[in-house]
Amino acid sequence: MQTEGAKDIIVCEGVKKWFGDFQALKGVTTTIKEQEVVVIIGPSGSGKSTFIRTINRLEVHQEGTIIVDGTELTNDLKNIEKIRSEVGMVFQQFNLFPHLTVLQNITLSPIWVRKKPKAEAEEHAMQLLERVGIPEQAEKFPGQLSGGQQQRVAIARSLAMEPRVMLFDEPTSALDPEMIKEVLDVMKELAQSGMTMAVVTHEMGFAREVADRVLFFDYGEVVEEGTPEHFFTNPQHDRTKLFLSQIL
Amino acid sequence: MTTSDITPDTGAAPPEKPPQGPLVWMRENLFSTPFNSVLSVVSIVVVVLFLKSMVGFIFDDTRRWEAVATNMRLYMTQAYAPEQFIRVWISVGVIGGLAGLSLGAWNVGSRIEIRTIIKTIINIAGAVALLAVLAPWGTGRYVWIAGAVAVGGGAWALRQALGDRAKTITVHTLAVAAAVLALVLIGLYTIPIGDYGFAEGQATYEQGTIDLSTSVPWTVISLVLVAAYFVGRWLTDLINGRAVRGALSVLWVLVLPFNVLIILRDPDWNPASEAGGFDFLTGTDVTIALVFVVGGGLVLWLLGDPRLGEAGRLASGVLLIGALSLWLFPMLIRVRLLALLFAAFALGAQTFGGDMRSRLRYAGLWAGLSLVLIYFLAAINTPSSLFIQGKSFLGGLTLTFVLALTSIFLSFPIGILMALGRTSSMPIFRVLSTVYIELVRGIPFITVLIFFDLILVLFLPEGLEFDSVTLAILAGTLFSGAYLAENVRGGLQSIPNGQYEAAKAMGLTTLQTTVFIVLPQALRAVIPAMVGQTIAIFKDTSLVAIIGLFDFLYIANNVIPNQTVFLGVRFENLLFIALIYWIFTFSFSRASLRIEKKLGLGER
Repeated sequence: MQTEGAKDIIVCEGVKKWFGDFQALKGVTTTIKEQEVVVIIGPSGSGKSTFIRTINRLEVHQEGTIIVDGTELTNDLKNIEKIRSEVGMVFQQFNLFPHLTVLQNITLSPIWVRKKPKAEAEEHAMQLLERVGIPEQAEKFPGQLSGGQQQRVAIARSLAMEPRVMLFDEPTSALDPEMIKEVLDVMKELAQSGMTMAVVTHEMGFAREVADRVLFFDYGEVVEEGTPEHFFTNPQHDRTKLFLSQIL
Repeated sequence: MTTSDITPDTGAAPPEKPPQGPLVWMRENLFSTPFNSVLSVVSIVVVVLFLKSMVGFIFDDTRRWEAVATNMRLYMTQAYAPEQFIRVWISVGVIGGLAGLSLGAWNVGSRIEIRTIIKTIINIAGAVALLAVLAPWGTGRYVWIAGAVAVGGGAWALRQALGDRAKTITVHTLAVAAAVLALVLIGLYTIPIGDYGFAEGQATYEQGTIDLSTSVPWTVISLVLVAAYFVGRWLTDLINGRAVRGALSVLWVLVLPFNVLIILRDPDWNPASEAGGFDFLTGTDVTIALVFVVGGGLVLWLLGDPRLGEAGRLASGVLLIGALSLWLFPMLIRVRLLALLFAAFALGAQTFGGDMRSRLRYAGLWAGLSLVLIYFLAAINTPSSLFIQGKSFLGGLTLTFVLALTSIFLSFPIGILMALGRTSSMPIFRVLSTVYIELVRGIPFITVLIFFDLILVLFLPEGLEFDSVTLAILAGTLFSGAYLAENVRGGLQSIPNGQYEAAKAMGLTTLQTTVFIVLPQALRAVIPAMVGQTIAIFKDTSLVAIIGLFDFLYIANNVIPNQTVFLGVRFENLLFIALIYWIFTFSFSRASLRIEKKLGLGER
């Protein structure tokens, strides 16, 4: 997965964010390298979702800088659109478009943002559906699929834009237990193929197996970071220890 | 790999309920408790008394239903020139043909069990028998009762004879509809209803069947409908169904302006004619068409090139400023409107352009739309060859339909734009839309109508004049646009935030998100409210009598009761139009239920 001397793709420097008076991010500084898989864990309300949502500006940070693939995130609409088409995002609630078929969900952006010919986009979409294991569902509507299948479509939809980075915001939290594995399998395959990924999750097994680096968030800041090995066997910080003792 | 790959045992079918007689049904549903029994008896008595007085009123000897029959032509088209009446039949025939094609192309209808049909026949026979018992018909009622009992009994006997087969034999619903249509047509030629007419201010009556001038056109239209159905089926088999249905949808949009402006109004293209005429070929319209259709299409095709990027947006901004500046110089209103529309299209060129196919499609869409618009605008500006009595060449039910359908159709874009404006993050749009919506919703429709008829003239730029029908349409459009906007806003608010976030995360622009993601879902969510608004505007058109138009209600309430022969005959007419209004509004709401169910497919 991570190769030595890889180039930085996401650089965050003192990122701060407030919701009204509440400070959700208290100066997050971290760098994600190309082909790196970063797993972000932490108790609920710790700001981990808010953080990855600032990376494609679904949340606007008020202080600090975020540079994605050499472009700084500012209010300039052109930059935001460019970054969003380079950064794929998978949501907890899937957020598929219920009025479009699976195939239309996947081809919409390639056709209208990348301006790809329809036939080419559909061919690519079918390859992606093969890759996530549900090519037979192409003509169905999202409402006719199970949660796990919907999330796999959502992953395929993000991949269709051929992003440089994939963000996962608790991708398995809304799933029934028996469907979590099928989504995690797809994500593992993606990590092995060399995709740069930032994953907010509660799946410690996934973090241990796939992550290059684990970030532990609490009260809007990175409390501890390190390799999964270090993190799960030898945590340094008291808050990390408390969190791990509660969930493991 | 997944759980859904294994097909589970679906289990046995549920046990079938044993058949129950009407007595069991009544005991379970009407007389289950003493209180229910009392309620049931009281309700039945009230309903029977109401029906009896209603039927008594309708069939009273002093009722003059011939006032309705005699004035049927007045009701439908008011004073449309009788020697040109063939135009009315042609326009109805066009709609009939289109309806037939659509029934075929959409493969409407399903198979129903024969027992359902038998049940319906028994119910109708029962209703007729009940009416005959209640009606003040003397001994004549026994004929009706005997007939109803015979038909109902025959149907019941058939049901018994068929037994279980009544559930397995099915008939296509369109076949049933065709059979009913055939019976009605046969009735037109055989049942001696008598022929009512008007000649030189005198009501005339001839015994026998309805005059051939009525029954023959209806027969032809029915045959066109049936033939078109088979053509529609054949076409969908021959070419692909989606293309046929797409073409038919476009034709449905065009059929109303075509029928009204071209067939019914008959613009006199011939410059040598008495009406003054207009030379279509050497006139300005050809120039306008060349500039906008060909030139405009070419510009849009160029602007759709994705390599232009920022420069393309800049160019379309310049075009918009140019279009707006046309309002500062003396200029044909047509040209100003077309230029504005073109600028709006140019703004979307970058968004909806892309590869060669999308660019050609976008330019083609504009070329088609502008060509049709220029054609209809030229038709409006050409004098009609008809002799026109009163304020408008339309009247009666035709006018009601033209007003309602045009207002509804035009108010959709306005309503959607206003709803988007009101929910927009841009303050100018938000304030303007909110002011417009709240202003219009706070004013009665009559006031809006009077304002448009009397006061708007003072505000309009020079050279712009509207006739009363156009003014009524404008008023109805703006009025129902405000209400539609609020309905659509409800739909917009029902879209979960996750949909916007997903669209944003995929890099879609705001315009693309609105067109592809938000509006399709929002409009689907508010179909019931929009049908309600459509029905409301259909009924509200009856207020146009205020500005001197002879609509359906005005004819029933004011015109016919003032005819010398039918002086003061009002109740009959009002009952008749109430029935017609009800039939149409009821069909609207039924149709919307079907659409809702169909679109519900794939909803989460």
